[in-house]
Amino acid sequence: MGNLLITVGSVTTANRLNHLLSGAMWTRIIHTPIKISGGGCSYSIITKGENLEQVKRIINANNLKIKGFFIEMEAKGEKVYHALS
Amino acid sequence: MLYLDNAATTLKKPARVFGSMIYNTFFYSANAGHGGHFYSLKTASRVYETSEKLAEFLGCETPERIAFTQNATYALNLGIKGYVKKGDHVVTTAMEHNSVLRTLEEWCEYTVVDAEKDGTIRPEKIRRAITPKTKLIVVNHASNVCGTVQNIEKIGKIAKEMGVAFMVDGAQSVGVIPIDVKKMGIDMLAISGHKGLMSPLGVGALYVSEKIELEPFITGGTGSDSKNLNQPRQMPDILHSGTLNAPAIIACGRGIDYINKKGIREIEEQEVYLAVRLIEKLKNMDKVIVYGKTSKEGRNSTVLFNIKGKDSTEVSGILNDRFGICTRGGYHCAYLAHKAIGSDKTGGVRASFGIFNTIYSVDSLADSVYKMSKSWE
Repeated sequence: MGNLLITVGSVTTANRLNHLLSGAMWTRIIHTPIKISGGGCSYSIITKGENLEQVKRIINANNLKIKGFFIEMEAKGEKVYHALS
Repeated sequence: MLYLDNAATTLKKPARVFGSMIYNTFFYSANAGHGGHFYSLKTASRVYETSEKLAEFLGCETPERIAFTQNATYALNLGIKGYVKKGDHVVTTAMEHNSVLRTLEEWCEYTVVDAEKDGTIRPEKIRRAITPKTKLIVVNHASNVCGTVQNIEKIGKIAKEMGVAFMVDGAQSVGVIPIDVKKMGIDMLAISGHKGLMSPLGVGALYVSEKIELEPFITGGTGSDSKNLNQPRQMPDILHSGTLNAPAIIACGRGIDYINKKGIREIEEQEVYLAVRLIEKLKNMDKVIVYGKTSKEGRNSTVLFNIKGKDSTEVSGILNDRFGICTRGGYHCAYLAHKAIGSDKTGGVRASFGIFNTIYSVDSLADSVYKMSKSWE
């Protein structure tokens, strides 16, 4: 499984989510890749894909507004993103 | 020089605030939230830490409900103009600063509830001033003129009962009087960073509860949703157009750390003690008039007085020039408040104590006022 990207609407929410997750797993804030950003610039948290369920639990428990979940994979040397429902 | 103008700004700050300002100006002055590189993200993370500290300090739902501004005046403008539409009505009080009154004057219909002679607002008068068109109540928590503190929790209850939003001007209270926005029923709180929170100049904030939806008053780049020509609707981005004053905001967080370590109740008690000590001394002087509350209940550290028959700006000037004491004379951008407490003909001399003032500060001012009043006999 590749990396999990959680896209959010604001850098404040990105930092809040990062603070909530970083004690439990490896995370990093990144500028959302244009391929998945939709409306333009935004921020995402990147972590390992296997953390998905734990991430969802933490998000729900803290009532965070999330734009989407994506799995980042590599195909033919390029990064590709699969949206998760 | 002895600095007694803490109601304008706390000139003296904890060493950690200065240290943070210097360090973060040097290392983390990137554009927070406008980029994905190391310095931008690190700066944004440190700005966020201040949001988190402030949200916890005030009992806000989440850090996202805090937007940073230049000062409390900007916060009041963003809140009032973002929430009240033309044709709406606002209830406010005679104790407000011009940051509220001038904003309302140019923006909408409003009613000014009068104050008692000591600066107190009777909450029931606010209830009676509410009309079917009233959308917002704006009340100043602590007077910048005479230090009177209003019963915010009671006014918050009235606002809730009447279904009207409640905005508090916390410029003179945040950092020196305990505030819990939920318990007090506050929907919007205008915050000054550089006063009670002891941040460098150029920092204020607006708390907006989850119940309130604002229209943006200032629009521009937020670092988010860039393809959309409409301003993002989510907090705090809706209010965060342009580059934030990151080093000062981060230093504000260090000011909050200082207050948390010292204890806000201890700070309040110490500052009010100094104010009451001054009042007691001034009351014993024949030629001196003291305005507002004279006991420790319902007041903060701001004291207003006059020497009978003397121009307040002249007295303040002599205190500065001859005695080396910084006070503020005049009307303090709040003429209606002066009118309410009876100092509208002369203005007043304001002494406002901060955490770094001592009994020596009080006694020095009192001695100087006494000498001055005697010299005019």
